Order: sequence, then C-alpha cells, then structure tokens
Amino acid sequence: MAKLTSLGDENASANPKEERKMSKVIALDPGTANLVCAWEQEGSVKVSTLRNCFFEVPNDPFSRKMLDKLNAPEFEVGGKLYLAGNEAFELAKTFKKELRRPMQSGVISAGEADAIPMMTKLIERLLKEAGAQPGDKCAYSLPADPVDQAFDGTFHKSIIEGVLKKNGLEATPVIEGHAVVLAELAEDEFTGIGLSWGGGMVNVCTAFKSVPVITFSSARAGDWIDEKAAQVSGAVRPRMTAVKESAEFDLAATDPTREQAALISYYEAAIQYSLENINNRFIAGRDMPEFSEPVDIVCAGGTASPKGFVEAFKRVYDRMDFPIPVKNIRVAEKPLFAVTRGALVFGSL
Amino acid sequence: MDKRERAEAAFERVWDNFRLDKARLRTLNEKEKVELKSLMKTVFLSSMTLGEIPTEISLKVEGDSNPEVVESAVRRVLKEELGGITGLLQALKDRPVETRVIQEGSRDVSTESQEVVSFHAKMFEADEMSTNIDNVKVSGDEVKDVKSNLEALRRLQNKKDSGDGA
Repeated sequence: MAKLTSLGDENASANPKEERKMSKVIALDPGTANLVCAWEQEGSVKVSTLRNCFFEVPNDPFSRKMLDKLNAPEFEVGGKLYLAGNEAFELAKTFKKELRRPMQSGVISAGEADAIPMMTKLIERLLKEAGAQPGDKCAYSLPADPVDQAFDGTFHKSIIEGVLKKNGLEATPVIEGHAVVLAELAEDEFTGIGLSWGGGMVNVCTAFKSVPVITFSSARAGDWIDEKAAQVSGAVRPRMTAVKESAEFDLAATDPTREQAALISYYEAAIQYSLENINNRFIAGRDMPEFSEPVDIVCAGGTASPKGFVEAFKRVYDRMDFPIPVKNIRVAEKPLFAVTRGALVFGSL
Repeated sequence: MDKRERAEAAFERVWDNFRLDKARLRTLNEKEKVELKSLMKTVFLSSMTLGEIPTEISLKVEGDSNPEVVESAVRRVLKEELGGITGLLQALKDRPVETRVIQEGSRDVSTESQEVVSFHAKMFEADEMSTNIDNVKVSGDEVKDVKSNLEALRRLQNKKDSGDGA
C-alpha cells in the first residue's frame, strides 16, 4: 500500500492529492497482446498501453552492459534476466526471436507461471501512469467463457484482481464484449453486437438495452492469425505481428506481398470461424431476444485495427445466412482502446 | 518488516481476494471459515518463508461442539471448490503435486490448495524483483470522453426503473 501512496506523490503535480475529493475510476484491459489502461483527466480520457510480452536474455556481464547502454527495462527474477514490454517486442522483431507471453487465449498462461511477477510489474507500471492511489476503483475486462477452449476464467480473474487489490484498488470485472457495447452502442440504446478482436480471443456480446444476453469467446484471434501466417511464410510471429500492424497493411489490398497475402487469408478464416460460432449460438440460444429492428455489429480490439477489416468482415458475412437482421457493420474509432472506454463507463456507473 | 511479517501481510491480501472469489465460501459458517483460513495460511506461510510446499497438512479442529462437521466442510471446500483447476495448476508447476489433509485417526483427503496459494504468491515476488521498471516505455493516447455514454446508460436505467423500458 505504501508503494502506491508514493506513486501518487510522484504524480503530485498532475494529480494533487489534496484536490482528490473522490476516488478515481481507472479502466484496465489486460489483454493477451496488450495491456491497456484508461482514466479521465482534465475532461478527456487518457490511455496508456504496453505490450504484454517478454523474453529471456543471457544473464551475463556482456548482456547487462548492452541492455544498460540501450537503457532497456530489465527484470531479474530467480537468477534469470528478462526484457519485457514494448522494448522486448522491438528487440524480438530485430533479432528474430519468439516472444514469451504471460497470457494465452485471453487468460493467464498455464505454461508461464514465472511471468506473473513480470505481468504484475507491467500492470503496476500502467497504474502508476494513471496516477492510481489506494482507494481508487479499477474496472477491468474479463474474457467470456470460451466455446472452443477448456480453461477456468475464475483463476485468471482472481490473479488480476489480486494484483489490483495488492495495490489497494477496488476491483470490478466487466465482460470484454459487454465493454465494447458500452463504449460503442450508446446511440442504439446499447442494443446490438459487440466483438472484441484481441490477441488471444474474440469476445462476443449480444446486448439488449445494455443487458448482455449472450456472451462467449473463441480462440481464433490475432495470435492464431499470426501463427498460421508465420508457418506458411517461414517467418517468426513477431515479424507477422509487425507486418499486420504496419500502416501499409490493407486487408483489401489487390497486390499483397507473400506475407500480407498469408495474413489476409487467415484473417478471413478467423472471421469465418467467429461468425459461424455466433451463428451457432444464436440458432441454439433459446434466450435470444426478438430484435424489432436491425442491429449494429461493432468490432473493436487491436486485431480489428488494420485497414480493410470491415470490408473483409462484410465479404465473409455476405456469404452467410445470418440469423438476425443487421443494420451496419463497423469498427470502433480507436479499436484498441474501445474495451477500456467501455470498462470506464461500467466502472463510473 | 521481516520476511514472515511480509508473508503474513501477503496472505491476508490473498485471503481477501480468495474469499471474495469463492461464492461457495459464503455458505460456510464463521467457524468453518476460520478453520479454512488457518489451514490455508499454514500452507501459504510454509511456501513463502521456507521456500517449500508441505506435502502434508494436519487439520484438527478443537473446542467445537462438533469438530468433525467443521472439518468436513473445510475439506469439502478445498476439494470441490479448488478441484476444478487442478489440471491447470499442475501444468503450471509442470509436475503433479498432492497435499494430503490429514487428521489423527481419520481418513485422508487429497487437496491441491497449496498450489493455489503458492501461485497467488507469485504476484508478490514482483515486490522482490530487481528491475528498472520506469524504463518501460508506455505508449499514450487520448480517446473520446465517456460522459455521453454514461448519460445514455443512466437514462436507459431510469426508464427501466420507471417501467417505461422494454
């Protein structure tokens, strides 16, 4: 607890403690690929992001000297030396190394228990950026139950909540797809379909007047696209991630490179898979409301960010017989931040 | 604060979190909760302070009119509530671990509780990690404020409360 008090003091000029008449609301989206944090400040919403990844470097004097020269963030735990965050991503791309991830398929990775202290530190770094202080409220996103994975979300929830509570914050979970609805469907009285295209999962929420009616997740998302495209291109995954995130990448490109073509192909396959899952759930769902008017489908998340995503989505959608009338298919204005915006709405209620 | 005091403080935070997460715990009475907390604390402190996970935990309830009932409830929670994540926890440790809750003269019941607390304890290793965390570059941006969304949501809720909604 003392630690966050000192963090608040460090940010005293931006957030004078004496001026804080009530607790602040912070939103956190602990995603497989990115950690995103949002908070209100001076009438606007600020967001901070970090890559949720790391990799091990040799723990020897030469490596340490090199990292010191680069002013790179190092983590030493159990005699091992790691790089984490954005710098790890950049170096992995440069040296063609595979990254390790604290999370997989939307939850804490079963094979990366040792990454928990590191992820804790990265989350604390974002909380510091947000000027979080003990007593503040933090609404954080959680994946919905998956239709194609066997994992226990309760455990993931307890770890994320543990990190927040360790720092004195009051933790409130919000289902990821529901957060997209709260961020993007205000003009439709929060009725429609919100999809969060993350690194590990696609989270789906069908909401009726703000109430989530059907929520679920599926595992063919950004990482799956990168992995499959890397396999057929002979590249490492960070390279495919970088191609996907480059300004030149366009899912509607008519003359793509080999790597781009592989990504486009697997993007369509992932969209097809997600729409089929939605279709199946709608057909099977006896609790589906009758929508009197066509609804919007809004996509968010880093994986929905590339140019041409909507066009690719519509191409696949048009081939299907979707069970409910759809008015419009669109992508959130800043897709990577939509979940945290929605979590901020949820936490501020 | 010495290592044991830190471990005890850490456990209190883990316990708060654990208790909130486990709806089933709310079905236990106060005595049962005290016994469960005591048992988990033993495991947690052993893991944190000795650096090893005990393979046997003695569970013996005294001073209660019906100690077997309390013990039975504690075992039930440990076994049933935590049993669902056994596979995950074993994968995390990459080895099967079994702790036996024993009582003198009574049957043994297996549980994996020590894995839960030791895994939770991982997050507290962050406090001892050597790092220059401030060098981690954070990307910043700004997005539309959420005031209009909040107002729309509140209007909708008011409509529902007054019976005008769907």
